[in-house]
Amino acid sequence: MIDIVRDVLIGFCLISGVFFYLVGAVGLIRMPDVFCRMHATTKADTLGAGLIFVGLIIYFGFSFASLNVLVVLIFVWLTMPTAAHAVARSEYENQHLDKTEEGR
Amino acid sequence: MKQQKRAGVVTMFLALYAFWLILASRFTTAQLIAGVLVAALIVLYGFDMMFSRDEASSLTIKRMWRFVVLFLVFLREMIKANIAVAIIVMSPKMKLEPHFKRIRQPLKKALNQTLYGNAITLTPGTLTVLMDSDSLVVHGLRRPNIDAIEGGAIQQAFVNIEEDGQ
Repeated sequence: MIDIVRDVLIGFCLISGVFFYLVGAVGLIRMPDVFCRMHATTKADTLGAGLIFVGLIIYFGFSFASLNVLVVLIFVWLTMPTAAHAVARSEYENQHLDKTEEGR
Repeated sequence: MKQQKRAGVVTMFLALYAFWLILASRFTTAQLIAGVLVAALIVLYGFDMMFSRDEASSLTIKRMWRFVVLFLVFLREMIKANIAVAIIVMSPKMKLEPHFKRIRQPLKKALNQTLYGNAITLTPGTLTVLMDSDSLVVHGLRRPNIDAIEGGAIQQAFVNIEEDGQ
């Protein structure tokens, strides 16, 4: 019984994680400009990676591999928004939007 | 001052070494020695980039608890954000109103400001584009997204961390 619940939970985490990754990829193609694209990739990928890693942690159980995955998860969550900020900022300065007062 | 710097170096070294051991997950002699070398090298190269003590708020029990609360609030907001963005992306006609807005930020410590900027990037349809000590330029996917930041749950959680946690 417990095994079935666990398997269902793992499957749910992995499948929804993959779904959010798919949303991120579709958003990257459909969105009109750099800033909107960063919205799609950062958000969808963060939850996508989070769900997949949580699924892996449940799969590995209480072990060293889980600890590895947890550390990787924390770093992905720290670096993803930082990278998005760097891309958005360089685009902002590239378009000289910083010289206009409040933007559009 | 010098004492404080030494303590900072030791803390950073130990944290990096623990990180190395977790990632290596094998404890042979070669692994242990390589870890010491790499950690020492990173401390040597990157210590100046770390937040100094007066840029972060000191860690009390109450603050740790508030960080836990912040994390839970953030998690809830992030899941909502993901679903909202997923709906926008997947709808046949994407209704977008991309725009920039400058908002004031209430935080003073550099570490908290950094975390706040990152948290905004990860929440509903908002993206931190520029930041300085008292304001942020945020790009929004839709108008209500940005208006929800000021006075929102996440901002409140950050303000709680910064005020005196005695």
